[in-house]
Amino acid sequence: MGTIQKFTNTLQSNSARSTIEAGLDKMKSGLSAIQGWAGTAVNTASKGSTFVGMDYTKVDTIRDAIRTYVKNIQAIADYLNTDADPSKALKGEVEGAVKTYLSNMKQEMDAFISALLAYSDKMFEYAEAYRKSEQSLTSDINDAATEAASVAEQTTYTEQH
Amino acid sequence: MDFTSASHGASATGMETYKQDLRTNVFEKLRNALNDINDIKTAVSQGWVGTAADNFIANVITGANTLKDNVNVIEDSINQELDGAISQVYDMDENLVELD
Repeated sequence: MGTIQKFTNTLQSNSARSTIEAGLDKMKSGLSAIQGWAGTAVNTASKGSTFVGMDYTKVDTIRDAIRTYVKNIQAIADYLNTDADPSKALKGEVEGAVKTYLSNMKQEMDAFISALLAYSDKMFEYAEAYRKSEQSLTSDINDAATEAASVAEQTTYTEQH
Repeated sequence: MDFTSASHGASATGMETYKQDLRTNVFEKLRNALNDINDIKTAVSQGWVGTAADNFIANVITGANTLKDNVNVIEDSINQELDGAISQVYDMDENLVELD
Protein backbone atom coordinates (compact mmCIF):
# COMPACT_ATOMS: atom_id res chain seq x y z
CA MET A 1 0.00 0.00 0.00
CA GLY A 2 1.46 3.38 -0.93
CA THR A 3 2.06 6.22 1.49
CA ILE A 4 -0.78 8.28 0.09
CA GLN A 5 -3.26 5.43 0.31
CA LYS A 6 -2.21 4.75 3.93
CA PHE A 7 -2.73 8.44 4.66
CA THR A 8 -6.15 8.43 3.01
CA ASN A 9 -7.14 5.32 4.90
CA THR A 10 -6.12 6.97 8.17
CA LEU A 11 -8.24 10.04 7.41
CA GLN A 12 -11.18 7.95 6.52
CA SER A 13 -10.95 5.90 9.69
CA ASN A 14 -13.64 6.69 12.19
CA SER A 15 -11.48 7.88 15.03
CA ALA A 16 -9.41 10.38 13.00
CA ARG A 17 -12.39 11.58 10.99
CA SER A 18 -14.56 12.11 14.04
CA THR A 19 -11.74 14.03 15.74
CA ILE A 20 -11.39 16.33 12.75
CA GLU A 21 -15.14 16.79 12.24
CA ALA A 22 -15.67 17.55 15.93
CA GLY A 23 -12.88 20.09 15.74
CA LEU A 24 -14.39 21.71 12.65
CA ASP A 25 -17.79 22.00 14.38
CA LYS A 26 -16.19 23.70 17.38
CA MET A 27 -14.27 26.06 15.13
CA LYS A 28 -17.45 27.01 13.27
CA SER A 29 -19.31 27.83 16.48
CA GLY A 30 -16.33 29.79 17.78
CA LEU A 31 -16.02 31.71 14.51
CA SER A 32 -19.71 32.63 14.48
CA ALA A 33 -19.30 34.49 17.78
CA ILE A 34 -16.40 36.46 16.31
CA GLN A 35 -18.31 37.15 13.12
CA GLY A 36 -21.22 38.42 15.22
CA TRP A 37 -19.46 41.54 16.42
CA ALA A 38 -17.10 41.80 13.47
CA GLY A 39 -20.08 41.59 11.12
CA THR A 40 -21.68 44.60 12.75
CA ALA A 41 -18.48 46.60 12.39
CA VAL A 42 -18.17 45.58 8.73
CA ASN A 43 -21.78 46.54 7.98
CA THR A 44 -21.33 49.93 9.58
CA ALA A 45 -18.05 50.60 7.80
CA SER A 46 -19.58 49.59 4.49
CA LYS A 47 -22.10 52.49 4.75
CA GLY A 48 -19.48 54.93 3.50
CA SER A 49 -17.47 56.18 6.51
CA THR A 50 -13.80 55.34 6.40
CA PHE A 51 -14.08 55.03 10.17
CA VAL A 52 -16.51 55.65 13.02
CA GLY A 53 -15.71 56.53 16.61
CA MET A 54 -15.50 59.07 19.39
CA ASP A 55 -12.55 60.70 21.14
CA TYR A 56 -13.65 60.76 24.77
CA THR A 57 -11.21 63.60 25.52
CA LYS A 58 -13.24 65.85 23.17
CA VAL A 59 -16.63 65.35 24.84
CA ASP A 60 -16.13 68.25 27.23
CA THR A 61 -15.10 70.48 24.34
CA ILE A 62 -18.33 69.63 22.52
CA ARG A 63 -20.36 70.28 25.69
CA ASP A 64 -18.59 73.63 26.18
CA ALA A 65 -19.43 74.62 22.60
CA ILE A 66 -23.11 73.93 23.32
CA ARG A 67 -22.99 75.87 26.60
CA THR A 68 -21.37 78.87 24.88
CA TYR A 69 -24.01 78.72 22.13
CA VAL A 70 -26.78 78.87 24.77
CA LYS A 71 -25.10 81.71 26.72
CA ASN A 72 -24.67 83.79 23.56
CA ILE A 73 -28.33 83.43 22.71
CA GLN A 74 -29.43 84.32 26.24
CA ALA A 75 -27.16 87.37 26.16
CA ILE A 76 -29.02 88.66 23.11
CA ALA A 77 -32.35 88.17 24.85
CA ASP A 78 -30.96 90.27 27.77
CA TYR A 79 -31.48 93.34 25.58
CA LEU A 80 -35.17 93.15 26.51
CA ASN A 81 -34.17 93.81 30.12
CA THR A 82 -31.31 96.23 29.76
CA ASP A 83 -31.41 98.34 26.60
CA ALA A 84 -34.94 98.18 25.24
CA ASP A 85 -36.33 101.59 26.21
CA PRO A 86 -40.06 102.08 25.67
CA SER A 87 -39.94 105.73 26.79
CA LYS A 88 -39.72 106.81 23.15
CA ALA A 89 -43.13 105.22 22.63
CA LEU A 90 -44.99 105.39 25.94
CA LYS A 91 -45.00 107.63 28.99
CA GLY A 92 -46.47 107.19 32.44
CA GLU A 93 -47.50 104.04 34.26
CA VAL A 94 -48.03 102.16 31.02
CA GLU A 95 -44.30 102.60 30.29
CA GLY A 96 -43.47 100.78 33.55
CA ALA A 97 -46.01 98.06 32.78
CA VAL A 98 -44.43 97.45 29.37
CA LYS A 99 -40.96 97.21 30.95
CA THR A 100 -42.24 94.59 33.41
CA TYR A 101 -43.93 92.69 30.58
CA LEU A 102 -40.74 92.62 28.53
CA SER A 103 -38.74 91.47 31.54
CA ASN A 104 -41.16 88.57 32.03
CA MET A 105 -41.01 87.68 28.34
CA LYS A 106 -37.23 87.65 28.64
CA GLN A 107 -37.51 85.12 31.49
CA GLU A 108 -39.78 82.99 29.31
CA MET A 109 -37.21 83.12 26.53
CA ASP A 110 -34.41 82.15 28.93
CA ALA A 111 -36.43 79.08 29.91
CA PHE A 112 -36.98 77.78 26.39
CA ILE A 113 -33.44 78.69 25.25
CA SER A 114 -32.07 76.68 28.19
CA ALA A 115 -33.76 73.61 26.66
CA LEU A 116 -30.80 73.56 24.25
CA LEU A 117 -28.62 72.49 27.19
CA ALA A 118 -30.30 69.09 26.88
CA TYR A 119 -27.95 68.47 23.93
CA SER A 120 -24.99 68.88 26.28
CA ASP A 121 -26.47 66.19 28.53
CA LYS A 122 -27.07 64.02 25.47
CA MET A 123 -23.35 64.21 24.63
CA PHE A 124 -22.54 62.88 28.10
CA GLU A 125 -25.07 60.04 27.64
CA TYR A 126 -23.71 59.09 24.20
CA ALA A 127 -20.14 58.94 25.50
CA GLU A 128 -21.35 56.71 28.35
CA ALA A 129 -23.20 54.50 25.85
CA TYR A 130 -19.99 54.07 23.83
CA ARG A 131 -18.08 53.15 27.01
CA LYS A 132 -20.69 50.56 27.99
CA SER A 133 -20.82 49.05 24.50
CA GLU A 134 -17.01 48.78 24.60
CA GLN A 135 -17.23 46.71 27.77
CA SER A 136 -19.86 44.45 26.23
CA LEU A 137 -17.92 44.03 22.97
CA THR A 138 -14.70 43.31 24.86
CA SER A 139 -16.50 40.61 26.80
CA ASP A 140 -17.87 39.06 23.57
CA ILE A 141 -14.45 39.11 21.94
CA ASN A 142 -12.82 37.57 25.00
CA ASP A 143 -15.41 34.80 24.94
CA ALA A 144 -14.72 34.19 21.26
CA ALA A 145 -10.97 34.23 21.88
CA THR A 146 -11.36 31.65 24.65
CA GLU A 147 -13.51 29.49 22.39
CA ALA A 148 -10.98 29.72 19.58
CA ALA A 149 -8.15 28.78 21.94
CA SER A 150 -10.16 25.82 23.21
CA VAL A 151 -10.91 24.63 19.69
CA ALA A 152 -7.27 25.01 18.71
CA GLU A 153 -6.23 23.01 21.73
CA GLN A 154 -8.68 20.24 21.04
CA THR A 155 -8.14 19.98 17.31
CA THR A 156 -4.38 20.36 17.11
CA TYR A 157 -3.09 17.04 15.97
CA THR A 158 0.12 15.85 17.48
CA GLU A 159 2.01 13.12 15.86
CA GLN A 160 1.74 9.88 17.74
CA HIS A 161 4.77 8.15 16.27
CA MET B 1 -44.34 120.48 23.86
CA ASP B 2 -42.46 117.48 22.53
CA PHE B 3 -43.05 113.89 23.53
CA THR B 4 -39.83 113.60 25.55
CA SER B 5 -41.22 116.00 28.16
CA ALA B 6 -44.62 114.23 28.47
CA SER B 7 -45.59 112.63 31.79
CA HIS B 8 -48.28 110.54 30.15
CA GLY B 9 -48.89 109.68 26.55
CA ALA B 10 -48.00 107.57 23.51
CA SER B 11 -46.13 108.27 20.30
CA ALA B 12 -47.01 106.31 17.16
CA THR B 13 -43.70 107.28 15.58
CA GLY B 14 -41.82 106.41 18.72
CA MET B 15 -43.60 103.06 18.89
CA GLU B 16 -42.55 102.17 15.32
CA THR B 17 -38.97 103.11 16.19
CA TYR B 18 -39.15 101.03 19.37
CA LYS B 19 -40.56 97.97 17.60
CA GLN B 20 -37.87 98.25 14.91
CA ASP B 21 -35.24 98.49 17.67
CA LEU B 22 -36.53 95.24 19.20
CA ARG B 23 -36.72 93.54 15.80
CA THR B 24 -33.13 94.49 14.93
CA ASN B 25 -31.43 94.10 18.29
CA VAL B 26 -33.34 91.16 19.71
CA PHE B 27 -35.39 89.02 17.37
CA GLU B 28 -33.26 89.06 14.21
CA LYS B 29 -30.10 88.62 16.27
CA LEU B 30 -31.74 85.70 18.11
CA ARG B 31 -32.72 84.01 14.86
CA ASN B 32 -29.22 84.47 13.43
CA ALA B 33 -27.58 83.22 16.63
CA LEU B 34 -29.83 80.14 16.69
CA ASN B 35 -28.82 79.41 13.09
CA ASP B 36 -25.11 79.65 13.85
CA ILE B 37 -24.07 76.22 15.13
CA ASN B 38 -20.69 76.24 13.34
CA ASP B 39 -18.71 76.10 16.59
CA ILE B 40 -20.73 73.09 17.71
CA LYS B 41 -20.22 71.37 14.33
CA THR B 42 -16.47 72.03 14.50
CA ALA B 43 -16.22 70.66 18.05
CA VAL B 44 -18.19 67.54 17.09
CA SER B 45 -16.15 66.91 13.92
CA GLN B 46 -12.95 67.03 15.97
CA GLY B 47 -14.14 64.42 18.42
CA TRP B 48 -16.83 62.25 16.89
CA VAL B 49 -17.28 60.60 13.48
CA GLY B 50 -20.10 58.46 12.17
CA THR B 51 -23.84 58.34 11.64
CA ALA B 52 -24.43 59.02 15.35
CA ALA B 53 -22.45 62.27 15.13
CA ASP B 54 -24.29 63.34 11.94
CA ASN B 55 -27.66 62.59 13.54
CA PHE B 56 -26.69 64.55 16.67
CA ILE B 57 -25.94 67.65 14.59
CA ALA B 58 -29.20 67.19 12.68
CA ASN B 59 -31.04 67.05 16.01
CA VAL B 60 -29.36 70.26 17.24
CA ILE B 61 -30.46 71.99 14.02
CA THR B 62 -34.00 70.72 14.52
CA GLY B 63 -33.98 72.01 18.11
CA ALA B 64 -32.69 75.41 16.98
CA ASN B 65 -35.40 75.63 14.32
CA THR B 66 -38.06 74.85 16.94
CA LEU B 67 -36.69 77.65 19.10
CA LYS B 68 -36.75 80.03 16.14
CA ASP B 69 -40.46 79.30 15.85
CA ASN B 70 -40.79 80.17 19.56
CA VAL B 71 -38.89 83.42 18.97
CA ASN B 72 -41.31 84.31 16.17
CA VAL B 73 -44.26 83.67 18.49
CA ILE B 74 -42.72 85.80 21.23
CA GLU B 75 -42.02 88.62 18.77
CA ASP B 76 -45.62 88.55 17.55
CA SER B 77 -46.91 88.53 21.15
CA ILE B 78 -44.78 91.51 22.14
CA ASN B 79 -45.79 93.47 19.04
CA GLN B 80 -49.46 92.77 19.70
CA GLU B 81 -49.08 93.88 23.31
CA LEU B 82 -47.32 97.08 22.28
CA ASP B 83 -49.93 97.81 19.61
CA GLY B 84 -52.63 97.17 22.22
CA ALA B 85 -50.98 99.51 24.74
CA ILE B 86 -50.59 102.40 22.31
CA SER B 87 -54.08 101.85 20.96
CA GLN B 88 -55.54 102.12 24.47
CA VAL B 89 -53.68 105.37 25.15
CA TYR B 90 -54.89 106.87 21.85
CA ASP B 91 -58.46 105.65 22.54
CA MET B 92 -58.38 107.23 25.98
CA ASP B 93 -57.20 110.49 24.48
CA GLU B 94 -60.03 110.43 21.92
CA ASN B 95 -62.70 109.71 24.50
CA LEU B 96 -61.51 111.65 27.54
CA VAL B 97 -62.96 115.03 26.58
CA GLU B 98 -66.26 115.22 24.74
CA LEU B 99 -67.18 118.18 22.65
CA ASP B 100 -69.93 120.23 24.09
